[in-house]
Amino acid sequence: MADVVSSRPVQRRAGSGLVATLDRKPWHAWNWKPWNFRPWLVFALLIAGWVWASHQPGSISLILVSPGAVFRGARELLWSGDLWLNYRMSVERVVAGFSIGAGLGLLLGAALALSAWFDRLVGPVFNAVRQVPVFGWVPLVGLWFGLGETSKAVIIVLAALYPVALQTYEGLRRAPQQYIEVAEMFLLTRRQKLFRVLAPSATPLIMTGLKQGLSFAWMAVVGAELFMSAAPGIGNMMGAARGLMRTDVVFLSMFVIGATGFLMNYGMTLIERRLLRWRPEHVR
Amino acid sequence: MTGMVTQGKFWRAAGRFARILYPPAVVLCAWKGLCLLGLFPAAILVPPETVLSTFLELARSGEIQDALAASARRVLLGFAFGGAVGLTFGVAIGLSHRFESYVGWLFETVRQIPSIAWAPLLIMIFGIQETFKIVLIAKAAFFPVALNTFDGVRGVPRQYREVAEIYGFSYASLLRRVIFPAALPSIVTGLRLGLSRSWMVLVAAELFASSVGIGHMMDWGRQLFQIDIVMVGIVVIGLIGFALDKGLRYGESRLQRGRGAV
Repeated sequence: MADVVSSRPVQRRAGSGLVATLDRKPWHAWNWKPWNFRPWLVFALLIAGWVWASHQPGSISLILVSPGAVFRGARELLWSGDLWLNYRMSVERVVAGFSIGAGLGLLLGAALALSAWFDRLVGPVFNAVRQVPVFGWVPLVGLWFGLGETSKAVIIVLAALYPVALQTYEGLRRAPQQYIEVAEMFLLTRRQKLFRVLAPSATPLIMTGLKQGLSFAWMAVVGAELFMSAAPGIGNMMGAARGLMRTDVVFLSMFVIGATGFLMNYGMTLIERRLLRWRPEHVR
Repeated sequence: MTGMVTQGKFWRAAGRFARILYPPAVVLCAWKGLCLLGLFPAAILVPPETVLSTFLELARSGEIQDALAASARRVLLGFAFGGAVGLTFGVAIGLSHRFESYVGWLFETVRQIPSIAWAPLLIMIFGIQETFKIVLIAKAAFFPVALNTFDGVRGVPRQYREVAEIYGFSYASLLRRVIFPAALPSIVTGLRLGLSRSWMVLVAAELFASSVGIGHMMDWGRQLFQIDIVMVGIVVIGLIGFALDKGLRYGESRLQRGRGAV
């Protein structure tokens, strides 16, 4: 009992904050079985309600087009290649933006954690800039760089950078004192200490940061494409479809955005597991 | 002797004061320094004193108060609504495995779609007025609150429930005296995250279209090429976001410390 009580606060710490929102899922607790009728029941009810609503007279059926219409719209977009073109542009943006943002975030986080001077000089500026929601920068960045590709890139890079820098900083700072003492006992050089001791012990948090960064970057891609000029992209396709009252396209875009986000997160989880294989079972 | 103690107190207070003042001082120096370097024209990188005078001007004309009142109303309504629904939903799926097996998958599926991607659909349904913004903010607040509440309620150790059973607690008092207090820290974390998400989404929602609000003020500044107005907006939303987060974090730590003492 005492054991349970004393271990609680530690668990809280690790599971609190953004980490908890992004990592822990009800699905882990919910063991999925295909023969479990309950999810299917809700699913069937939802589809039935949707079909019913779309056949009602009045304005609701204009917005809530039937599942069949969404399907036909999706097929049309797939055949014409529109979906693919827009999707590819968005994916290119997220890959480029995330790579730059995560790289800069790693460097910034490491510099802040390793150098007290850098932390004292740049830390406050970083923390101040971080307080502004990413989309709050859209008007200013739009004035500075216009509403084209550069501005989108800046927003996406910023979105990816914050969580990566923050978690890298935390991870390197939280390296257990014992590890550092051992490193000092073995007279490791600064570089050896960084790459053999600090970096591995920070990897779990850095991976969390990279995961958050990737999903923030994806959100930023969609937002930037909605807010800024009309260049191909999934967000832009969705915004244009809204103007044309093409609900089928809007639904399809939302589905594609959600599925992509899920797959990216899943991919990062696989990478994380592979990188953290060396850790003992109970902390994984 | 007493003099030394007072002196110690004085220096400690001064030290605390300096620690609080140090970060903004660094930020201001960096900002001003960058302006003085002259790499960017003053019309592009507005110096801090101009931003301050623009702020005072906007405050004198009452513009910024109107904008903030409209934005605060949206955030509060959206957060209250989304938070209440999220709390209820989180408690429900946390307590009942059966309810979770009905709707857990739906919750998890919908959660994959970022808030911003809901905006076009919500605009189609509710029009581009207030309702859409409040619903979007409520959606943004719902998920962190529901998820953390779920975590908290599900995470209550089984031993606690067993003890309550031995004492013959009714279901209501089990909820009120065991589950709710045990889940409270996690719930508060959820509320904090929900509020900062709401604030983040508010700015995005106001950029879509609005006639009043802090996001609108910034977009309007952009259209008029008035970088100082845009920068006033950035400073204000940054400060408010910071204050919200700090305030709730303080409450959170007070709560946890109070529990630790028990």
